[in-house]
Amino acid sequence: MSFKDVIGQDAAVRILQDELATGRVNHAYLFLGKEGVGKKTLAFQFTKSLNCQESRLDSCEGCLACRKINHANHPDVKLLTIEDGNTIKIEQIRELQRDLAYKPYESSRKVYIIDRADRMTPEAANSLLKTLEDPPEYAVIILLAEELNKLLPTVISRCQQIHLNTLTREEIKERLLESGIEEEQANLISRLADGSLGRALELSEDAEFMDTRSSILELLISLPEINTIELFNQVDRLVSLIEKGFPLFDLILSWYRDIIIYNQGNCEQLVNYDYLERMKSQQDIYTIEDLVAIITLINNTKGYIDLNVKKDLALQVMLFKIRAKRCK
Amino acid sequence: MNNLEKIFNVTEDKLKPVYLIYGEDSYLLHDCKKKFIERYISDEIRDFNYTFLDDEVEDFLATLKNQVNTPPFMADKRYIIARTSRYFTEKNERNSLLVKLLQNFPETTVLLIIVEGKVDQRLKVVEEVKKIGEVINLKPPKYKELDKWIVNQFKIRGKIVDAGSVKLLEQMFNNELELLNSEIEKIITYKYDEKRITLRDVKEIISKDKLIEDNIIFSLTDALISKQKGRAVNILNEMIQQGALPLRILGTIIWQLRLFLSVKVLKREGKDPVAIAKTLKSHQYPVKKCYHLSNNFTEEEMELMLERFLQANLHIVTGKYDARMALELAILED
Amino acid sequence: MTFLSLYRKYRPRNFEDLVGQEHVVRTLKNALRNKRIAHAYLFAGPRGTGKTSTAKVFARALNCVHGPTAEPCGECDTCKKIQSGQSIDVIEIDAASNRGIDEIRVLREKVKFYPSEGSYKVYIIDEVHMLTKGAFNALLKTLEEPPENVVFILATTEPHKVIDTILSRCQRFDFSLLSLNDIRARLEYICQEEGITYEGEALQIIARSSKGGLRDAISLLDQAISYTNANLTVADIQQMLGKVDEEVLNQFFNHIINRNSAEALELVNQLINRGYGVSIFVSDLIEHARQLLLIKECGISSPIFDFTEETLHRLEQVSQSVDSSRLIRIIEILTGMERDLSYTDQPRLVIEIGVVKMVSPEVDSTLEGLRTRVAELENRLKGMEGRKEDKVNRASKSEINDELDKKTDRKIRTEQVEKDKRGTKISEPVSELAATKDDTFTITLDQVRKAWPAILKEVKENNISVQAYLLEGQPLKVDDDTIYIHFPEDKGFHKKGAEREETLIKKAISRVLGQPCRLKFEIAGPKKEVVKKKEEIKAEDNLVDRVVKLFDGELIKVNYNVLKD
Repeated sequence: MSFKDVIGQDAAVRILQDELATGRVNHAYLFLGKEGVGKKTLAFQFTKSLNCQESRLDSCEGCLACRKINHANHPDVKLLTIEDGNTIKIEQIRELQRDLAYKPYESSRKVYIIDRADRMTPEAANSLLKTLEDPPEYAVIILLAEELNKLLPTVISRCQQIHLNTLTREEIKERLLESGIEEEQANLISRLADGSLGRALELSEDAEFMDTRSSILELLISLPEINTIELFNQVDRLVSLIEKGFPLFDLILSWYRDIIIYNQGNCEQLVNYDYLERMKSQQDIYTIEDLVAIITLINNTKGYIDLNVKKDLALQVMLFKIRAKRCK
Repeated sequence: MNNLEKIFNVTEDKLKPVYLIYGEDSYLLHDCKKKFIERYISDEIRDFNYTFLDDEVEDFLATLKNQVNTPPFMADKRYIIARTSRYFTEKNERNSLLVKLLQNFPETTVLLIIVEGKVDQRLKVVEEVKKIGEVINLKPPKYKELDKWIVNQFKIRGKIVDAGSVKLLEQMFNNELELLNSEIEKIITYKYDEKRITLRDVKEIISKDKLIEDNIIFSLTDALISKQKGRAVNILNEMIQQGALPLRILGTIIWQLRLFLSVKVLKREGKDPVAIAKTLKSHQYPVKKCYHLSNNFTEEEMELMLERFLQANLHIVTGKYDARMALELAILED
Repeated sequence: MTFLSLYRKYRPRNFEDLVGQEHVVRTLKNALRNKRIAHAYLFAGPRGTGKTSTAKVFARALNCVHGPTAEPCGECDTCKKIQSGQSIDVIEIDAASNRGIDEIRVLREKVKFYPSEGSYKVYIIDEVHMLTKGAFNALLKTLEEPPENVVFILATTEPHKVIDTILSRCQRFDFSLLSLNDIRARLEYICQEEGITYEGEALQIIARSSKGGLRDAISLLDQAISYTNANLTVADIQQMLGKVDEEVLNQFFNHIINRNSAEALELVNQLINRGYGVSIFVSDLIEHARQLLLIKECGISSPIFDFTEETLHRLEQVSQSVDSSRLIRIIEILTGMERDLSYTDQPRLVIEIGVVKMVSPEVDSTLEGLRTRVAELENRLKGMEGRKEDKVNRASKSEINDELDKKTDRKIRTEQVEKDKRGTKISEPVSELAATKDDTFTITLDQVRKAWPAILKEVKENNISVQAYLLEGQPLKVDDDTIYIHFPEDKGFHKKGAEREETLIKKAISRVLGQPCRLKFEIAGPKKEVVKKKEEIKAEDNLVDRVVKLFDGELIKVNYNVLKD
């Protein structure tokens, strides 16, 4: 692998290669970008390039260092992420700091990659500050995070920010085609993936996801006429999907958004492209005001569930309202 | 409880080498173990010739084998009681070790295996046990047997209990013997100095949570669907006073509203209460009640009521309203 | 001399000291007397109801040198050590801070050792529902094969979170909230022991503030003693708590109900100037409103209430002068205020706006508010009698239209959750009459729908069979200047019939809507049923009639859905 193989992040790559070329490598980086756009890939690529024994601007994939990093075996390259519960604890940071005290064994640099850095507890983040500000010469710390708003401003200010793009649909589609996915699938998945290559790759493996998706879209299509008993039963199913981590609300939102898009005439922009023909009848059922109200309702419902209201109740009310067009 | 005669009605010398008792009810298993020890394992034997093993121990099988094959010390038999599930409820790679052990079982050892759960009769280990010993299913009593069991539990503690109490206990705890045992113990401790236990006594001391869930909560939802708002609020307050948790109450209310709405819809389709109960997989009694009261609300009104309770739920989790007041408002609002 | 807080000083030493929970006490005492000690107990109930205190008393009773006994002596070494929390045989674990399986493992190890000083080793695990699954399972193992002289007392405010297998092995006791009387009685006892003078009503107020939890009540008592210098008067206590006198509360409330905003605001002004606690005032108002609502809905004989006869009757009277829906609305507004007060730096403003909201019908979109407004408008119209007809109509119409426009423009949002199911938008059908004759097509689907009955009527007057066709259809979409009328799949015949008479229908629509239009007839999905709410219609009819009369208008259609909003 080389920098050339990193997809869709030309700007970021250029900055990093520039720094490698001029030798002005920073000590603390913050890679920002949506899940699955390639932060970790880029971080590792950068790390390999830093430590490569043959090349200075890129990784050679042949030398001992490159190979060790590829096997997660390099003593001077460490990846840190959430271990217990949902946060990165202060103990983990302390361990990092203890390890950092020792000079690198094999290479010129010690690299720490902290994945999901936005999940550090406040104590952990605070204890990292000193290290970010005043690290030993040989240290490089790369923080990976999705958004700025969950990070301490004091942490942010000590890092060089590298922003990663979401990929375009075409870029994702191309990559999928390269992997041997067929045209129609690739077309669909690239839309569902919403800019994240990681997500696209996951989806291409996940037959169950696609089936579930179909059944939910069918549900939404039949919603205006659905029988109350059936509605209750479906809600039970939806609740267990949510509990399994299925991105239910994203899917439902994408559907109603698609109807609006279709109505506006931009068929190309549809996410649920494979349902293009069904859209026509949908458009007749809902007016734009209806759809806007529905989307607000769905967003609100999502919010309620985040706040921990009873999922079945929230979904029942939501579906009843959409069915009865009582979404005000 | 006839199977137990196989274990307890024999003299020590006629004991088989292996007995496997299994069942879902932990009380029965524990009770059987207690009785077994009382009957066969006297204090003298206990010192050198009795081992208890739990399969949580790391080298369970090795220890078991070791113990089984150790000859008794100055006694006729060596007793081992082993508690395990995993070798008898499903296929396990190490079953073969156990099979071998059973196939070469010494005469001087008596092994009582306790399995909490369902035993898979097809397993080789089970077959082997059957060959040299007994496999006994301990089923919790039902119906009349349960009545008798409860009455007996009071009897051996020196009390006489009335029929109403027996019925209430069964309603509350079904045949969960462990729970029943705890509650009965509590009841007789509460009324230690009296010989007769009445329904009133039981109601006073019994664990309210279940009572609330099964009985009182039902009268709250009853009041709701009967359009008796004031009464519903009274009952709500009483429940909270007794320590019931608002979100639990909310959960049951919603369940009831769902039932009501479902019954109404099915009634509209022409079904009768029995058929409705079947479709909804529910008991007939609540269904019948909903059926008769179904004209109290239109379907839309029911949907709107669900919306109000969703709001109440929201108010409770965001702390905007005190939980009790949030529920009161949801009940009282139109 | 070290200062001992009242709470610690009067911590229950024996069963007699425990407040409330008679059943629990009786059973435990019997258990001790008759040596029927269970291996595990579960004490479940709301906080502050005595779970931990009872557990400690029980531990003493078990381990007292004279024990196990129902009357621990309190004098022996063991009793004293347990009382001061220093006994190694009574171990307290707070599961909220020690959730881990490690603590429980340690516990399991320790359990194997015989108790050293007393006869029992007692483990009191507080908030036991917070243990992790692993910890629960480790605990379960111990409960399955409990050693002889060990007693577990598990305490929790959320029993349903405790796994069944543990629940079934415990003897469970439910602790209920303490009644006002129980709390007050304990406070009286303490005061008497401490030689504090007090007014009965003062203790009542403190008890009420604690909401069923004794710990809070005693700590408030502590504060009260210092604040009032050991002489508890009602006035002092109220001042300490920042509470406003009951009378003032009543007065304020009456102003609100009678819509005397000026007086209400003046009262608020005085309160603020005198430094009263504004937040407490608001929460007291909420409680007051709630009491009134409950009295209305549940009747004064309901067991909910804790007041004296005369108070109840007085409240009942007040409650009769106001609608339940208005009370609910007031509670909503007050709750919003309470929340805003917690993070504002302008409390005065928050209250003033709240008062205005509660008092002014313009801002109050409940049905009742609307009634008031209509009544006012009627009065105003009457006053204008005697002037020229046209002028009156035009003048009143424009004034009224202004009012209504103001109303339609104003959006009342109290929070993000959709609210205001009681608002009405009667303005909409009426504003159609006053619609300007634009050249551009400005009809929305909503307007077509609302005008539909009138359109049908118009068509019927021209040709009854055409109306019959049209009845099966529904306007479903408006696109540019074209109205799409959809017919269900099985009504193709009607669709065709209507199509043939397109011109006639077009004319009728144009006449009713005041604009020319184009029509398209289509087949859509099956027709949906509209559930009519006859019951609601009755209630609002009267009001609608009055409004219609006011405007000399025709009843086009009242959208009951909207009315109910």
